[in-house]
Amino acid sequence: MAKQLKDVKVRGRFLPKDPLVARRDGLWAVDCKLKAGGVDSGPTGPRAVVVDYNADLDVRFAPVRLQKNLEFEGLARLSGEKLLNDVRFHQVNVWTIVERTLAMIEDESVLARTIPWASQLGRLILIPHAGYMDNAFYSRDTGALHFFYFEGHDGRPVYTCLHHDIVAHELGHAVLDGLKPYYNEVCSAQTAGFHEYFGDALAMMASLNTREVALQALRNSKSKLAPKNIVSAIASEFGAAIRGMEEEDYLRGAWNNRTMSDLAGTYEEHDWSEVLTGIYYDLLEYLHPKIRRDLEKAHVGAMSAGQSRYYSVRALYRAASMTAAVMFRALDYCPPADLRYDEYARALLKADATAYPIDAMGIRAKLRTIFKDRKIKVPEEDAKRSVQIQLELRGVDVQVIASTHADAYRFLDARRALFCIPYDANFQVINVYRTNKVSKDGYRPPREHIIEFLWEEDVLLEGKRFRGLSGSSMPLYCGGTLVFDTNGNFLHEVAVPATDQRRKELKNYIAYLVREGQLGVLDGVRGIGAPRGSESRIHATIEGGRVRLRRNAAMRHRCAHGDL
Amino acid sequence: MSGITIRAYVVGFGDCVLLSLPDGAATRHVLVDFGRAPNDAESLQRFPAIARDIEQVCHGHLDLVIATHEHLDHIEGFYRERAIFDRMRVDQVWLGLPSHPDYYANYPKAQLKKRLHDSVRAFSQSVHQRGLVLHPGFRSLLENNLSNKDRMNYLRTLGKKPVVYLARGSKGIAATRWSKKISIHVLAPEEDTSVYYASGRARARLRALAAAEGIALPDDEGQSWTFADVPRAKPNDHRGFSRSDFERLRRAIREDGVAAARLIDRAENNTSLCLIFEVAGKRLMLAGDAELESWAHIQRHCTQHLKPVDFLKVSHHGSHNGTPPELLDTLLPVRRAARASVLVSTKRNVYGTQNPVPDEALLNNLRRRCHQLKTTDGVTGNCVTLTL
Repeated sequence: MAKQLKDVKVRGRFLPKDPLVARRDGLWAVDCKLKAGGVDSGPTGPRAVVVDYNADLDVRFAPVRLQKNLEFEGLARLSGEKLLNDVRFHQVNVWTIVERTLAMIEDESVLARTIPWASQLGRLILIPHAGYMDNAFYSRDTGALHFFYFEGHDGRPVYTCLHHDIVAHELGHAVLDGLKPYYNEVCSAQTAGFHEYFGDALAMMASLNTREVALQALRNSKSKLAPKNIVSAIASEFGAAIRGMEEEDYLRGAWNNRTMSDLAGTYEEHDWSEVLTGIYYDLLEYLHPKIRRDLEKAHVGAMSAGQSRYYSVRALYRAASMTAAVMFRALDYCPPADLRYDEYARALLKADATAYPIDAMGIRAKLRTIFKDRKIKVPEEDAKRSVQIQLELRGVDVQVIASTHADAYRFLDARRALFCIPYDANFQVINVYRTNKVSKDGYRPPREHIIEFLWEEDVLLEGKRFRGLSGSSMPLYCGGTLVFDTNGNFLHEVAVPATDQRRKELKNYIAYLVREGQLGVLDGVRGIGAPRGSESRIHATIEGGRVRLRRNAAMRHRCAHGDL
Repeated sequence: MSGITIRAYVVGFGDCVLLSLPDGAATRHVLVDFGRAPNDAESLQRFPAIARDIEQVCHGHLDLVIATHEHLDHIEGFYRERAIFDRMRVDQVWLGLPSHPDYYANYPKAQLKKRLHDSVRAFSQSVHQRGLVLHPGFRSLLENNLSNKDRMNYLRTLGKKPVVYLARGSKGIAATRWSKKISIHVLAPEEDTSVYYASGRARARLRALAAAEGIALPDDEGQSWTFADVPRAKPNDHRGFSRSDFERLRRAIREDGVAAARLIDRAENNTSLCLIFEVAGKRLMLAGDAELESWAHIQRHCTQHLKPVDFLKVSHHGSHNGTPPELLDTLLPVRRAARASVLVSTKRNVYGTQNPVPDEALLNNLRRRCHQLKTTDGVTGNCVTLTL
């Protein structure tokens, strides 16, 4: 019964937070309408499909049926605990969260383009009952989000597919892997931290797009966001379950004050992620009262408590959408590999300046203050270099050079010196695309043409600290991103060259992973029962004296002591 | 003889420990395990010399043979060198209670493991018939678990006296006063080994695997995790996802038989006899291949025996899951390092470099806690000797 009509709307249903918050705060499932051509039972949508395969049991649960009235079978009559325990709702919940979150980030005010999946598959696979484990993860190999279940501290089952933040977070990994596949490579703790931040930020964005959540977030305060609230406490039930305490109801907190200085010598990626998650929340906290004041100023006459509350919720809604737009649009201005936080900060400021030449909301000024507080030193823009690149662009048709990978290659190859690409580097253009962004108020920033290129250099690992990897070499990813507008104007450049500093940092990072036992060296021998490195966070294979490191998707969220 | 002599034979990836214990004017010889991992072919060549050395040291008389559990890396040598053991005098053989022929009839809750064991055997036969390629490490794991019937039958006939089957708290067995001067305490296994799988995750895994293998499940309390009342998809009901897409996904996620084989391997390790010998004022602990589930029960039920020891045979060849780090403060406190000796019977790279055995972090931790840490890994002679 596939519906091909463009304007078909299906009734999705999802839990805005998780079962713990539902039971505690009465935040039960809400309905939403999804514009989804090609929707079918499963649920199946144009971008995601539920395949309810349980590997422990080796069975596939029956897919939920889409009825003629475009509602999913059996859900209308269910509510409360019955709904939470219904496998069909689990399927619909995870699919609804993924489809609506994707729609938000692909929106023309944010990334303004279709997200590609790194698996090269058309639909992202969603597995809501993958097996018994206190875990959930995204895997590029399967092209799927795997959600597990386990027994909570109170004996109740915990289904991770019912956790909005977890679903959105894992979707974040899939989205970022599609946009920036090399951020999944082992480069630095900051890049790994960025992956985690992106997931948490996506969870906050999606969460605040629900009226019920916005109301709840402001429940205990008249007009201001409390530091710890339903949105900033990420993954409530899951956090409580793995800590065994209901009062410890968060996995990570966005209200932190972590700075770069606090993390000197630390390599734990979840710790690193908190700096950026904190920045995201700082900006949200800044924008909310500002927008609320603007709304209240426009109000005529005496304002009742209800009206004040209404403006506060509306302001939070708007602040959330602006924060997401600012924080995610910058991705297009980031390098293709080894992203460091100072470059992300520069990208944030530049992308925002491109979209909004006048900083009417004071966002860039605020961001600069936040970066300073968080001890992120933003690199200065090099005006001379901008002029130099602009001069090189004379007579070049940007529409042509940014139309195919081969055209972009020819353009870059002819200008290796300008873009710091060594002559002997066999570089590749990994991405060429353009955006078509629109601000919420209808303003159209310049269309951007973006070229990303990359090459690898060898770093030799020598010494006892690398144990079994000593004597082999591993890749240092180098490259850059160029952003132009349609008129051929140069907008932004970010380069990741091979420097001694980067080589040293990569070696220190690898030595840390070895020291902490996070690397599992696989023998490369195939056959049934071949080790899959299930207990190490990173798999290493050595072939021809070169080490290839791959993140173990299942262990991404597991710390050295086994927690998530 | 007044001192204790411990000979750890270089069997490769396996255990073979000969204890020579003073008992008044006499010396008692106790052989704990004799085996090596199936994929460690090289070590097999040493077995005849090792068996002859044991015979020579104990003058052809072993007071006691203990096989901690049924894995080949603990029992292979007895059977393989039976020509030598047949001519020796073995007074008695001790085995773990789960090795009793009637064990599964007496402990029905543990039957699930037995049935899984049978299903893994069927899987192994089907792999063999279909000519499928097994990873060498996994092939060894299968053999280690499935090829032990003849070996166990041989051990049951080895002693002059009837075999004693032991578990913690077993009644009617004078294990605690083996001789006038030697006490032996049994810390593990539990009588009903199904208790090791009572925790949420282990129970869920075991029951799910059983369900997947089509094994009828005994009634149990709590969440079954088998989703028995959830309708299954019809074979051809693939919306937005073709049948071949699904088969690819399934193969990427699940390997038939592998999870069950790994689970019974761990389960067998947890049936290990874990013993404390008290002799000549010293305490010797030999823990077989006990894994964390078994240690959790030892910590819960045997607090009176968890005191500093003078000798520790590290469990499970020094793997990361054989010794709870927090227990080392009790068994091997750093302040007693001058009085403690540690043995790790192991061989590197037999099971690949994933989760390397022995675990380097564990070895470093142990080194701080003893004055001699001896390992059989890389030793060229027949055995390493410790005297206490």
